[in-house]
Amino acid sequence: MALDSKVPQGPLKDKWTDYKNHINLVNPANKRHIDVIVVGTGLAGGSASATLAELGYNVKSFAYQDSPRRAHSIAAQGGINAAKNYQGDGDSTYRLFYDTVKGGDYRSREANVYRLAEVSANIIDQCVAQGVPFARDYGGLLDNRSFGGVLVSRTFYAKGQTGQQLLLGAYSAMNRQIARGKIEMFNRHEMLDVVVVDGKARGIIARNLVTGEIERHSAHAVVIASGGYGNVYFLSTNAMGSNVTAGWKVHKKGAYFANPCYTQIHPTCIPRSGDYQSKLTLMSESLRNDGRIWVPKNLEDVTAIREGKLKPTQLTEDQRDYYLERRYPAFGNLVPRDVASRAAKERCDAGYGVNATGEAVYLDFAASFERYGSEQAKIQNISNPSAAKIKELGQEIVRAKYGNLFQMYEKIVDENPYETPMMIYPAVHYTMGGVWVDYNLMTTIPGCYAIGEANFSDHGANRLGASALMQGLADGYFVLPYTIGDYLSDDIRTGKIATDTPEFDAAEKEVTERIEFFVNNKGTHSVDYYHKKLGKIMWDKCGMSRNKAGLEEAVEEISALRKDFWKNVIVPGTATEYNEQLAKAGRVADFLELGELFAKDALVREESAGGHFREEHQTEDGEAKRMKEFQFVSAWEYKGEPKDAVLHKEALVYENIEVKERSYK
Amino acid sequence: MNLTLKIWRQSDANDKGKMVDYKVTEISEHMSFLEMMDVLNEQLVNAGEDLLLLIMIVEKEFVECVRCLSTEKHMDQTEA
Repeated sequence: MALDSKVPQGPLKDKWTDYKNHINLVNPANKRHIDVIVVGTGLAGGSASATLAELGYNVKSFAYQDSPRRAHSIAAQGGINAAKNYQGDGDSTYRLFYDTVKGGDYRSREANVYRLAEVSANIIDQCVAQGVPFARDYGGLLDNRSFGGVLVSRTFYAKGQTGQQLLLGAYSAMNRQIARGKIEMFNRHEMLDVVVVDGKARGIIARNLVTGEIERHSAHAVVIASGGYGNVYFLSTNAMGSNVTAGWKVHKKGAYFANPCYTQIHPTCIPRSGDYQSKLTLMSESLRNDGRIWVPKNLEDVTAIREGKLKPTQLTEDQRDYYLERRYPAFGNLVPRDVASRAAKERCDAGYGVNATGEAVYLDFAASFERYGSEQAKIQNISNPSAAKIKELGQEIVRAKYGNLFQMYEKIVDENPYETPMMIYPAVHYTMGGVWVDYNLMTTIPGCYAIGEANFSDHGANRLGASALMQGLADGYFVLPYTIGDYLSDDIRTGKIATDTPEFDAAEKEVTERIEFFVNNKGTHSVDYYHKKLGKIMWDKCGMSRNKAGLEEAVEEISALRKDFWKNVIVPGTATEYNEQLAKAGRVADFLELGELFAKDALVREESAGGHFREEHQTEDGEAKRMKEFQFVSAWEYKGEPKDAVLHKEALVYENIEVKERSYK
Repeated sequence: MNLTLKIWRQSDANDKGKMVDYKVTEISEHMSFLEMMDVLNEQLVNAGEDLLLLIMIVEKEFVECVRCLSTEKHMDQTEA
């Protein structure tokens, strides 16, 4: 099936408006005859559920967690971008669009990104109306801070817990609809398959995670908002339960999966402490507004620090290598994430890592304490303030901006980041790849939509900080409700979709058989055993830096690991009770297929772009080298074995932006 | 660290439940409690058993104290 992105004709800035002016609408009285299923209740799923219900559709929302507000969006820290230009520093819809396309290394669809920038301002207004407590400046107006890869301050934030506050906003909106009966909420339910009837997505098979019951749910359209697949690496900043299952199952039923090799490795996370570790902790990118990243200049100092003989605070300025400021004068510490992560890896590989494993660099706030402190001393008219007083005043300001993050760091690492620099290292954080969608956010299965991190679209090969929250809410509040309405206008006379049909029978049978296999298999290794092995192959061979030999090995090793899994995995307990090992088994089975497709995608893409860095394709300075012949989206069609997936290319044409070298120097 | 964990095992609301002792070895002081439980879970899965569901109490020091106290008492009694 040929890929049609369905981008509307006309000038870029008018496409979305013209589109909305010409789509079919659904009469309010007819909306209550239409059912929609939403899988996932994070920012994208929660906002979509609330908005569709408010419009009048009957919504069924599904979340595997105990409550919709436990979606992992809750952990997002730093902020949400919007082109409001409150700072008067040159921001505009066009500039946000431009920064996002450039930040994505010219690998995203122009029209989608422009629309994202266009609706970004509405998102902030919506959230303020919901009561989200964004930070405000001294005058009471919304405050902004900067994020990586941009030269303007356009990020709105709520301390270091923006995701939490935004999700609580969407959750309150959902709750109102749940109370009215317009959203039926299915907590502790995991979607295990999509049901396609006459070529359209018409329902799902879900498992009640508490009782083990398999349920059939039907609807006129299915929306996948299940988040990213970072846990294919086992260790990531995602919640332990985060998985690719919903997206993978629609892929197996006909939805192409795009650009799986574009994953984002976030530069500032708390370093790993051991093999038993269950997840990694993010230290928001917003900290790079005020923190300076460095490693010691001299290897002897590195050794002394590792042995505990020297403290970082004892090193003077010229004994420190502020390597981001050195390599990228224009953007300094605020280069995009892929650039910062590779730079950290480069220094650590060269031997300058400052912890026992050699995998850590410093994020230092001393300079910001001084800067803010001096400013405060002036404001408060303190003459001849002592260095200690300045530091104290500065720390207060930093506490107000990032308080919860510093506290989190101290709780985990047992070091006080107000007195000593934080140690950080890159970690898997976000996935730009995902289910392919067209301009309507519809997959290649009619009636099946994908929104938020679960889809592939707007961030190209690298996502800029604070854009995930923006995309999730844009999709859920302001894009999907229009585009899905156009599709559903054909279903006003369809009536309820029946669940006692052969298609539902077949889907349920497949799901049940897989579960029976897991609980009955006489295996020897736990699910985690396989998950950790997969994670290691992915991190070593499909991580920050990839090469042909490593990727070919990864494809073979993952294929072999998957065969081993299906022969030897052991899942204790039964299927008719709360059984987390059983749930994990299903998720890891899907990761074991995705991992192979990922490695294949990385192998086929012979260029470096954004988060996908091929050693064979780099400039003399070690930067990513894009190749013009790869200016397309790789959309993979499922054919059974991941290595047999068929590639469909969506050419990326830029009419409003000049494709140039992506430099942050 | 080698620890003895006393875990409350109760399969559902109708089950009476009981306390079970488990030994875990090579626990690092950098681990969180939950990560320690993951290590125990892995042990149990590999042995094909049911997994942990509810509250747990770590009583390394307590267990050792009780052992010391009962030893001392015993010696006092024999000497008397």
